[in-house]
Amino acid sequence: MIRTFLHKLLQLVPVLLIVSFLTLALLELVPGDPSISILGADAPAAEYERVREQLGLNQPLLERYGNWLSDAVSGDLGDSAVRPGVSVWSLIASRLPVTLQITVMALGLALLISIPVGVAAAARVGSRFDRGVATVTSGLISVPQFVAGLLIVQLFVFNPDVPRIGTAILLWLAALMLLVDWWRRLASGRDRGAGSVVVGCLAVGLGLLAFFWWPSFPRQGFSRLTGEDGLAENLRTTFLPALTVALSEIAVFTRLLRSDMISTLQEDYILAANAQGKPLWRILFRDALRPSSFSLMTVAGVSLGRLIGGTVIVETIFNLPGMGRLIIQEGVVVNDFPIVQGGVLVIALFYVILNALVDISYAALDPRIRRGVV
Amino acid sequence: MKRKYSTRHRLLAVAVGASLVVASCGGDDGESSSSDEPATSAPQATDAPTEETMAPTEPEATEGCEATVAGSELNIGVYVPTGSLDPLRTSGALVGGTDIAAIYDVLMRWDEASGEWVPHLAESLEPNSDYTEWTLTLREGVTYANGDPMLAEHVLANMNRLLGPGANASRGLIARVDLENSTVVDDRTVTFKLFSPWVEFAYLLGDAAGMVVNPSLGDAKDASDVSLISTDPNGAGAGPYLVDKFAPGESPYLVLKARDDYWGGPVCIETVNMVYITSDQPKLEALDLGELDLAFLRTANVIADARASGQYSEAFFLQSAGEVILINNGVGTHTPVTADKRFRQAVNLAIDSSVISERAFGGELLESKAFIDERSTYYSGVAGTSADPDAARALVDELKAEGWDGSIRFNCRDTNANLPVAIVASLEAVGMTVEATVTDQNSSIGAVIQKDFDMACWGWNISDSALYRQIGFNFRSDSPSNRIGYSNPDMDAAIDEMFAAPDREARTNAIAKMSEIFNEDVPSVIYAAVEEGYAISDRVAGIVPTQQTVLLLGDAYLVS
Repeated sequence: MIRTFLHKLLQLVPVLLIVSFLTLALLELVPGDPSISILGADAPAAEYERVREQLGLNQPLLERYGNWLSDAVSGDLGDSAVRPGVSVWSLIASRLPVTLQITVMALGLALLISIPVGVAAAARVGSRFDRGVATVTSGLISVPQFVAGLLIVQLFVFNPDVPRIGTAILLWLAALMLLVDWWRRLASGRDRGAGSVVVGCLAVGLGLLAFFWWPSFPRQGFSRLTGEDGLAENLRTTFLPALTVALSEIAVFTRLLRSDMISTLQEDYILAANAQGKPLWRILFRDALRPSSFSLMTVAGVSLGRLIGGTVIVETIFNLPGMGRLIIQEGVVVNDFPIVQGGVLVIALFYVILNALVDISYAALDPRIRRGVV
Repeated sequence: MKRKYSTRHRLLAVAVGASLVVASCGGDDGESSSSDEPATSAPQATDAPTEETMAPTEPEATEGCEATVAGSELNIGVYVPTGSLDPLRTSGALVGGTDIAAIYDVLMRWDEASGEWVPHLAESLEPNSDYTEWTLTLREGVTYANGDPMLAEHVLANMNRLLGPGANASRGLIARVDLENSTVVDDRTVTFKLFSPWVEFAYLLGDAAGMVVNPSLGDAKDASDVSLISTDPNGAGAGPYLVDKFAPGESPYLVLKARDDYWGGPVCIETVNMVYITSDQPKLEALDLGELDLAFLRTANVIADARASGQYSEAFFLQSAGEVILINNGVGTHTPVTADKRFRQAVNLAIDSSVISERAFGGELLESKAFIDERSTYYSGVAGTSADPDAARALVDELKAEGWDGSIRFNCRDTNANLPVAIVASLEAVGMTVEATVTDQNSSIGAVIQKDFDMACWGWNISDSALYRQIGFNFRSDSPSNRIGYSNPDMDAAIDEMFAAPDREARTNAIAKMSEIFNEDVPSVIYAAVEEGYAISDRVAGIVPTQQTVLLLGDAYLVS
């Protein structure tokens, strides 16, 4: 497996070279001049030329790329052009954790929600629940991220009573239905298990928590995990951005898992397990989920890479100091080439490594792939 | 399969999903909801801006402080974050003006209420009889944050420093000072010799040149030849605050901590956080939620919303000629016709401020075609030229008859998509064929700086406090910042007359002359003034505005 991983890593080198060169070439096409960002609009004309010369912007493209590459391979991504003396590495080191956290939280949230919902929808294909899931997920996919973000701000920040009371009522209703169902089963002598009671009580408790201790989410800003306010404040400032990113992923993951799961549930071994009287949850989550999760794994891996470089909208809406804003607002907009070059390189690196890991994970999921049978 | 699943399973997924959402919420700060934020009051709203509402108004001061209040915080939402904390590198009041002033303080302060410059770090500033020599006396006991005393020689050294490479636009005005013959009288006194009379010389000492840098630290540079105080200015300034954190791109990008030995007495607010939020609407929302205490606003309809809410006091400043169509008067690469005065007059006659306001600014623009806006204290009584499409068409026809094909280039920033559309429609309605290019703001500015443009969206932002600077910069024929190549000896003479005007009447007369010349020459077309500045929460008091939109925070405190 290690050899496979190293082999995949080697394949990354030409990808990174192409990406970094294309980035610089594309930046050449972007109109603008970093000297304006440095000096403002009122400086004498000679000053702009002096700054351009100092930044090496008058050199030919290939020469500039060569210079940058020779530094980059030794781990030096240079200094920001607009903020001389500030290294690109230090900027990336400060922003990457923010984006990674949002991305990982969003992906985690999406998986936590989409797996049970997707499994339940597949298990009751064609039911009202399944149709409801299809409708909701279609809606979520259709909503652009910036609209979702602004709606979430309106709902959670400016009208927090709506999600607070709504969540509490939803949880209590769920608890009530679980308990009623349990009581009916008990009365009919079909089931004496206490699982429903436990889950119902948990739902009641969570409903109470939501009703009385609903956190106030900030409109903007970010508190670092390592900051003096700690984990609680960090989660308070990252939940809404993560939820915004997660919404469309939840929809995609749910639909994907549902369709794969429907196929798996038609397999003979599932029917056999069913005939053996195995508990339903065991069949769904132990026997059927694993072989149904290949597409989900692939898409989740691709999503993780995509989101690391694609959270600029949510970073802008919630004023988060992440990689997206670094590359777009502090790089492209002000023509700070070193920042764009370095930022894109790091994201490309993440992207290709994640895809390599996804490829490798297939072997872990399917013994046939591991043994080279398929 | 379907029959095997009960209501329990139907609801399980819903319950789990909802639970996860709640469980993922993380920490609880103990507040029930944002609706529990303290309500603000002290309405000072008005429906339409007037001269009174343009003037900064301070929240009613009810208390000060005896010492820095532990734990007190002020959160300021800025226009654009500064990338450097060295006054040499800042590019004007909008970008880092308040930040830098909090660290270095200013020698002179603009008092909007009286329309005069008053001493701040300085004890006095006195002119000779013809305003060619000024004597500055520093306050006694002013020290930098590292304990070094501020000396008169530092003031001159600071001006010389601002003439060095990489300096900002202040050099244009410093060039009016005969630094070689200016002298240090004693530790607290310096005499400035000027090359020509300048009545409002104090302006220079209220801007970057008046933010004195401790020379023992200001000259230190890193390997990239950048001053160390660009990122770590502690000890280099005499202002009320020290830098606790400077991390551009972070939120807050700048954290300031109160000095305990500030010359102006105790600094009440312990921590000042400078926050950058990309646009005005979320900034106002953050102010509404109490996440900000001050929000810099520049968008007309957001300012109108802030006023309409009645919740905030304000420090908004009028900027004459804030919305302008810059016209190339014959410099660099341009279509030859732009150098013809009749063309510029035609553009001026084609542009109707109210049409632009309605189509591009939701009717909220401060419509004006006057060189100095009617609402300014410097208004001379000379109004702008009213729109007259028929007269514009006649001039266009005349130019076409002489060989111009009617086509013209126009570039505009992309921050308001309706603006270029409205302008192009107005010009094409009088017979021009406009080739419009809409780019990001940086590129739009770049085209002008590289002198490759016919017409461009621009703003001169002539505030009352920076009137001399902006007019001198943009319209004197010998100014290095005269982007448009405008040259008229009569305008130069009128500008010099304004610089030398000893009183308000003489100054107004000079401005009237300039306005008339402007209306005739039309170096560019003005279609609106703008407002910009801060909406201020009523929990904050003691903030002192100075020139343009710079705020002094040394006397600020939180109202209990």
